Amino acid sequence: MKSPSLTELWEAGWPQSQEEFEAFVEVFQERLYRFLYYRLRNLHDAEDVMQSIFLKAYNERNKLQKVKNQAGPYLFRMAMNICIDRHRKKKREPPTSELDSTNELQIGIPAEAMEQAEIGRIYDILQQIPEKQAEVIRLRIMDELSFSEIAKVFGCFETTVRTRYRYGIRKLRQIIQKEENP
Amino acid sequence: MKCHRIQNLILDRLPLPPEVEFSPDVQCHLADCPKCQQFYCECVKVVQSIRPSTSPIVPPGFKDNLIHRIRANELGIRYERSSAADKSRLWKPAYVISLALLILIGLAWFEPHAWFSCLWNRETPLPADLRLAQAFAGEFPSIPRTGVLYQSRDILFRPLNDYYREVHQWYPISIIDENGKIQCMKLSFIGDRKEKQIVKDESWYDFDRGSFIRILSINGNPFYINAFEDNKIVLTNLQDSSENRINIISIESYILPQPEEFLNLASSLSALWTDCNEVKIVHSKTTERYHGKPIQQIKSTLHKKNDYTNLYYYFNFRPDTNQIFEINTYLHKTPLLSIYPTQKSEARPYPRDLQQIPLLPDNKKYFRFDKLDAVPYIRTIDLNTLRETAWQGILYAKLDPCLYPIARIVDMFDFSVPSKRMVAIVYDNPDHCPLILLQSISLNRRYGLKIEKIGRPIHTSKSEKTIWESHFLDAAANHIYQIIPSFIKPQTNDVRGYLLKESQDTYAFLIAGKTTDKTQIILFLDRLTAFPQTTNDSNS
Repeated sequence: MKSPSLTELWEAGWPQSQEEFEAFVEVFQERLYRFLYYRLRNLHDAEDVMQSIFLKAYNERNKLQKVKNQAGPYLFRMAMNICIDRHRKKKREPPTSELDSTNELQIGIPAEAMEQAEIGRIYDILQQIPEKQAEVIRLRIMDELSFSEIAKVFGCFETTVRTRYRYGIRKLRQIIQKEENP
Repeated sequence: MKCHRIQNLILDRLPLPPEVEFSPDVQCHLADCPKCQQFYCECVKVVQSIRPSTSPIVPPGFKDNLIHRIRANELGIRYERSSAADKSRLWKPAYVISLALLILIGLAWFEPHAWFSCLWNRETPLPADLRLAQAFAGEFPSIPRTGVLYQSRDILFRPLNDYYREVHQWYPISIIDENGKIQCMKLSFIGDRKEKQIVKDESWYDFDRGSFIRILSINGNPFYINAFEDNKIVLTNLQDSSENRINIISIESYILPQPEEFLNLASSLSALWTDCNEVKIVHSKTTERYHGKPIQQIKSTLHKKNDYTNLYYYFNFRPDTNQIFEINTYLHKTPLLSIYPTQKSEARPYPRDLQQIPLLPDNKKYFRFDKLDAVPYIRTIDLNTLRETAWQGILYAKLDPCLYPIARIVDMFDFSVPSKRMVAIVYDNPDHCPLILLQSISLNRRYGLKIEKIGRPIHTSKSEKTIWESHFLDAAANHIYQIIPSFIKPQTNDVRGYLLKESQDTYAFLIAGKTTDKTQIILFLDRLTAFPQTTNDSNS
């Protein structure tokens, strides 16, 4: 049996059988993992959240039957909501936990630490532009989704996504120019 | 094409790899427009700066683990469902059997079989002193005593020598007569006063009969019964002076008894309060009007120190007739008992509430004085207070006819055994040489008052200064010296405690210890100041 491609599954219905679900995981795990890692900035957190998302996706498959032709966008929307929740929760936590998380970044093998430092730098840059624009840029550049896919994730028009993207890049250009020529 | 449109197209294409070429129109514009070329370069730079150089790889085996977990969960759910179904199948016979049992019990409820009533009438809460209650039930088998709240006290007629021959030895007791009047009686003993006689004053609440009974007996022979039956007070005087050698006469001069007599009376009536370690008698009189007639209310409060429970007795009098018409008992604000001695229709106790009283809380088996909470001290307390503290004991001697203080008490804690309460009692009996004893009094629910001789006088000087030593005094001294700043010196050892009677009313607790330079330090506990005196022999 030929395994379905990403484009086939992106607009497919929600997987119902175990075989369908296995194919679903196989196709989306890498993208979802990347998506989560760039937002949570922690490999372990990304893995945990991805597992919980997939488990939820399987356990609530009967409820999610209504998701037609939007399995991929729906999955990413779930992941995005979880990331937003975690960020909000983190903001409410006392500052000591933030210190802990920064310490965590510095601990570990050097390659991973450098990678995390790079992600942190990108995260800081994107924080300087509006969140919606930043999210579109993340999905477009880091997660390599097309504008139509991003539009489905956000549930808006493709033109809106394109506009946000353009504005975001222009603002980033200005910010980087300012940093280089203060 | 305008630059703005070209720039938008550049932006749209940006993350794509460089090998993907622009459309010919855009390529032409870019070749001619340096501004758009610069924009393109800058945007590429922006994208490169926000594009991570590496991409994370999904941990190996993630998918397998996930699938395995999903399968395990599914199996678990199925297993739980099947086990639940099996359990329900197993319980079905139990449901049937329990239903049948319920029907049987329901039928038996309406059948007045003796076996069922025995089954149903479970044992009431155990009396405070089961041992005494059983002994008492054995002595008087004619009176059924199933389910009692029992209390007893001993009235001691002490042996008198020639010095007292002319003195009439008697005790006041209070009773409520059938007309609701409080009678203050003189209880005296007739006969050979050289032998010790104990009159037992016992009272209990009988749950089966719903009545209070109070019996005074000597040597197992009851001579007085005061019962609350059929909604009224019933008195039965079984006195046989020839047999019991007890004489009860009314004291006409008493108008109202003293507050402590109210307390005794109340405790005899309710038979609930057997383990007070602190009794506070509030003798408050209130003049109010009841149905248009002036009444007088006397309130007695029994305050229990450890668990902060209070038992209140309200005696309502009519001062014109000196007649008690209502006695109310409250545990905090919960009514326990109301007695209307003269109104038959309204007189009834509250047996339902009465059975709910936590008489024997499991966690309060003994009175405990915590070491840290108890400030070390010696205090002289009134004998009357101690009598109320332990009214079942021999300290009842306060009611000796001589009416002078026969004993002084120094109350202190035993730091080696915190559950015990140590009391040094000094008997100044004029019949004998001054008898001085160190005794421990331990109060607990099971045995009531227990008195042990724990020390001995070691020295009596001509100036009537006496010093006692005891192991518990040493224990107290070892505990106390550590918290006295002036005494904290390095290498202080061999700390001992002594009790010193300086004069008639003055006591001192001495702590003596030797330091490494052989300096003996003596502390006077009351003032907590060190005496600079250095002695070689502490006993002298």
